[in-house]
Parts: sequence; C-alpha cells; structure tokens
Amino acid sequence: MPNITLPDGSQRSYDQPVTPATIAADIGPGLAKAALLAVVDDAEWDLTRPIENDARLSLVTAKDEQALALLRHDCAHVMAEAVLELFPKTQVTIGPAIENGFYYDFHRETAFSEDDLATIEKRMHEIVDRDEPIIRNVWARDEAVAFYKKNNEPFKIELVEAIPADQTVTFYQQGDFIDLCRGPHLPSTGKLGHAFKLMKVAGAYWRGDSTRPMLQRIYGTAWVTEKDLAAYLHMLEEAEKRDHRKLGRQLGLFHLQEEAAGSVFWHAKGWVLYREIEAYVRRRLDAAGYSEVKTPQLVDRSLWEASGHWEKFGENMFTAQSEDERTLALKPMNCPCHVQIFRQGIKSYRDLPLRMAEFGSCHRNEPSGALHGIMRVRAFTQDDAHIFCTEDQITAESVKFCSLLQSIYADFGFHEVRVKFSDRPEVRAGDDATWDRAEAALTDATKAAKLDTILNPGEGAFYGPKLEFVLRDAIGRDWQCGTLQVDFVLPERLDAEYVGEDGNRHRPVMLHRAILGSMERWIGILIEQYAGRMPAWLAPVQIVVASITDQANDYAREVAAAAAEAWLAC
Amino acid sequence: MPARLLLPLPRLGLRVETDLRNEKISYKVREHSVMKVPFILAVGGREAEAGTVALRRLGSNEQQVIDMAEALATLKSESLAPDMVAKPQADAEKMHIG
Repeated sequence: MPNITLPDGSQRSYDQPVTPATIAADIGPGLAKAALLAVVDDAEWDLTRPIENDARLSLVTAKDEQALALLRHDCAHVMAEAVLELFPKTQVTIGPAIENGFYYDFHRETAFSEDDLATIEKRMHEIVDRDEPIIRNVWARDEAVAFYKKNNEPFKIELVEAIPADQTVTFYQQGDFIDLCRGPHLPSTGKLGHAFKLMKVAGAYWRGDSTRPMLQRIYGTAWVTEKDLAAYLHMLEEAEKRDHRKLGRQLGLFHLQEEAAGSVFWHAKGWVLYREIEAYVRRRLDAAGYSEVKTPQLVDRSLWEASGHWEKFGENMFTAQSEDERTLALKPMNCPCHVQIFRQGIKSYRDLPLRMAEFGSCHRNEPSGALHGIMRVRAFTQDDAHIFCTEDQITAESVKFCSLLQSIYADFGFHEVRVKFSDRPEVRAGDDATWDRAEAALTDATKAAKLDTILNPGEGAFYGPKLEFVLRDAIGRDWQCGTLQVDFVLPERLDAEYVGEDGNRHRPVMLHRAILGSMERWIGILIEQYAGRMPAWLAPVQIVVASITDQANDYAREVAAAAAEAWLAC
Repeated sequence: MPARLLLPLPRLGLRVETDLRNEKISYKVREHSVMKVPFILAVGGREAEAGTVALRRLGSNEQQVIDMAEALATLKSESLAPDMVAKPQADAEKMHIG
C-alpha cells in the first residue's frame, strides 16, 4: 500500500490507493484549498487520480509556475464546453496551452464573429461558477473510436488513432462535455477563476497541413489573478502603441513594401539612426581589439557544402546562377567567409586571439508569413564577429565578451539581462574533456559578469556550448539578442590552422558572437523600448530651431549653424 | 548626475533643423514633439536681441530662456554617445589597458 514521500522528506502511509487531494487535506485545509495539481514521481497528476504505489509527491499551487500552463489548458476545455453548448453542431479538435494563454481549433461552417466571442466568454464564466467536477476516465481504444464515430467526429478519430498503442487513452469530462485528453486538469471548473479573456479568431489548418480542412482557432489569454490579466492586457495595449511599424512610418524612419518583402527601405532619418548605432558599435569593437572586415555576398555553393550549411540550412538560402553556370548563394551567415580570411597566410599562436568583426549583410529565405516589420526580415545585418583562439583562451575571451555586451546593453538603456546557457547535447562533436573545459569557460564568464544564468540542459549546438543573452524591455517583454557560441567543428571542416609554440599545426577554436544580433531587429526593439523617443545621441534630428516671428529667422539660422558646428571648447 | 569630462573628439555638432515657416510657435512645437525631437529652441525678437534661446525638452511643458552658447554647450554634452562621455572609472580602465 502506498508510502508517500513529501518534498520535505517526511512520509505518509496509506492502507489503500489515495488521491493527492486526500493527502493535501491530511496535511492541512489551507493546502487542500490551494492545491491545483500534483506531481507524482516527476509526472503531472490530477488531484483526484488515485496513487496506487509508493511515490514521491509534491503539490502545485497557484504560486508555482507550473500552475499557469494547467490553468490555460483548462481554460481551453472550458471554452470548448461553452462553444458546444452555444453552437452544438461545432466539432472540437485540439486545444493546448500556449505562451500567455491557450487556443482551441473548431470545425464549423459559419465563422465565429466578435459578438460570438463575447457570448462564448460569458458562458465560460458561467461554467466556472457552476464549479463542475472534472473527471478523468481511461477508455479502451475501440470504445473511444466508436464514441467519435457515433458522433461523426473524424478529427477526433484521427487523434485517437495516432495515440501509440502502449499509451492509455484518457478522457476528461466536465458537465456534459467529454474530451479526449492526456490531462492533467484541475479538480473542478471553479478552480479556474475568472482571470481569462478571449482575444481573437484566426484560420488554422488541421494539423498545420495546408491540404487539410481549414479550422477556426479561437485564442484566449489566462492568468492566475485578475491583476495579472489586467497587467498583461495593459502590456499588449502599450506594445500596440509602441509598434515599431507604426512609429517607423510616423517618424519617417523606414518602410517596407511587397516588392521587397523582408528587406527594409531605410529613409534618411532612419538611416541616421542606423549609422549612429553602427558607428557606436564600431568604436566599441575597435577599443576592444577587434579588426573589422567585409566579405562577399555571393559565394559559390561549394563553400557552403564544405561548411555544412548547404545541407543543414540550404532551404533558407537564396541562390543565383552565374554566366558560367555556377550556383552562388547569398550568404545566410558570415562564419565561412571569416575562416577564408583567417586561412590567408600562415597564422601563428602569436596572432591569437584574432577577433574578426563584420557588419555582415545576410539573407535568409524566411516564409512570408513569418516576416514582421523590421524585426523578422529576410535581409539583415549582423553585428557579427568570430574570435579565433586557443582552447586556453576561451575563458578570458568569454569574460571580456560578457562584460563588453553588458556595457553596450547598458549604454542603450537595457539593464536587465539574463543568460540562457545551453550545454552538451547527446549527439555532439569533440571529446568530453574539451566540452568540460568549454562549458566551464562559459560558466566562469557569466559569473565574472555577474549575470543570472538559466540552464538549458542538452540544448547546445552539436559543435559546442552556447550562451544566449535575453534582455527585458520597458514593458516587460523579453528579447533574445546576443549570443556566444563555442565551435570546435567549423575550423576542422574548413581547415583553419595555426602554428603553435611547439612548431606544430593546431586547430583554433572559433567563438561566434553577436551583441545586438541584427541591426534591423535591434532598431525595432529600440523604437519600441523608447516608444519612438530615442535618447538624444540616437535621435535622427536632435534639435529644431523654430522662429517665433519672421524677424527672428536670421537669428534662428545663426543658432542652427552654431548647433551644427563641431565642439570647440571644453 | 556624476561629473562628466568631455573628450576632445572631432564630430560633435548636433543634427539640427530650422523651422522658419510662417506658423504659430505652439503649432511648430506640437509638430516637432510628435516627431520626437528631443530639444526645441524657440527664438523671437527678444531672444535675437539678447542672444538667448527658449529651450523646451521633449515631454516637458516648461521652457527655459538661457544664453545661446550655454544652451548649446549643455545640449551638445547631453547628446554625446555614451562611449564619448568619459566616466572617471572607465578612464582608469582605459589607462590600464593602454
């Protein structure tokens, strides 16, 4: 009979299978009320589902991060229940939790209107007030198929059939609504609370496949408290006011048009901003010992084959034919070109670390649906650099990089920076000792820079571990911009080498690094951060001299001339 | 604000435009505020005679009438890129590296 081990190490024994809800009640009425979900031996578990064997148990309350995804998933079910009550001929398909909320895909002939969303939302609140118990049932597979055949629901039949044979088929019921679902869910609809809102309806293909039927996807947002919901809605409102596409047009900075989807037309004022940022970064890189280069846009496919990009990245590369019938690709990244410069002439250990920077114009063939203003484009400029160094130099170079990055972010007004650290994946190049050293180097660097680090275990690239730098903007949104990646592989593939102190040839390590990421996206982020009110050093026009009367026009010109004049006195 | 030293650097002129249209000053101020221009200098007969300017900063309704040279000195120093503003600490680091 089950022995339950709680997070504090204490144990409770039961004579028969016991639900987490009962255990919570045994611990105390406060916990029984607050508990939303259980975690049994690392698996999420409904509060009402009996535990039969010895297990470790922890309880999730609204204070835990995990509770949010649960609430959002429940919200999707409550929405589906509301839709079926109001529009009984609708077929429900799938409805997961997503970032900030949830959606559910419905199959229905008539389109849902704005008014329908309001009606559905109202019904959802009623369902929460009804506090319907949510009950988990295990069904036989045939039973599930028969159920959906009877109801003529082909989408659901397809879902049941896709469940692997060794997995149980579970259904969740609340009121009259029964849905195929892996769970877990809240014990009753009342636990959901009222901090949700339906946002919009959009088309979505069944299974994301454009050859399959088009469904209607209703998006909603859900939070633990109504205060959180209000804060989120306020953030969205702020974000809309700050939308860089709107401000870009209003301030005359840039435009985009169909004929060059994903490429920016910089207008004079926007280009001033761009050049000011570029000049600033260039000065910082100069001072930090980088040398700037410029490499070709069109490069023969053979180089991309050698670097491995053709195989891994080929779909995203634009290509062109030359008159001698060679296939040239517009570079999607700069690294192979930088290795070509490194390979010119013999390099010695005395040349290392060699820090090669480029404002690299890159093209990537992104689907047009993924493009967004100047934030997600097809043509962009990376503030890219590669540091060729020895393994022993990785730590010192990483420390220097982190401090440079932090200082640059601070200069642009971003002071909240977090780092995601991705370490060795299962499939990887290089031996364990090398990975140990590289990972330790990156850890040391983030510590020296006093940066908060979040570990992404196993998420490193196959060629080396990486850091990704995420900054938080004025309205609380996170943007991943900077990156530092250790690479043991590319120097090998493209045959870069240096002569060591021992007179032998060695492979350098490459550190791929960017601070802003892409100039275009960075400017988009800045516009939204400052709601268009750039700090004076970046403002395209810093000062306007306006005459009050015609008589003062000459004086106004004089003041303007003095303002434009270079600084003379200290 | 901490004390700031200015480094002798070549290009420190401001990006400046004039607005000499025959419009009311309130209209001009509103329009340049919408365009997010950080500083507006309004000048009339009185300012021309006294060699002063009426300075308005974006987001503030107040205006400050000050000597032209003084105003430009302030605005030029406020418009420096952050890496052009010598902070005592950063200077020490630079010397150490150099």
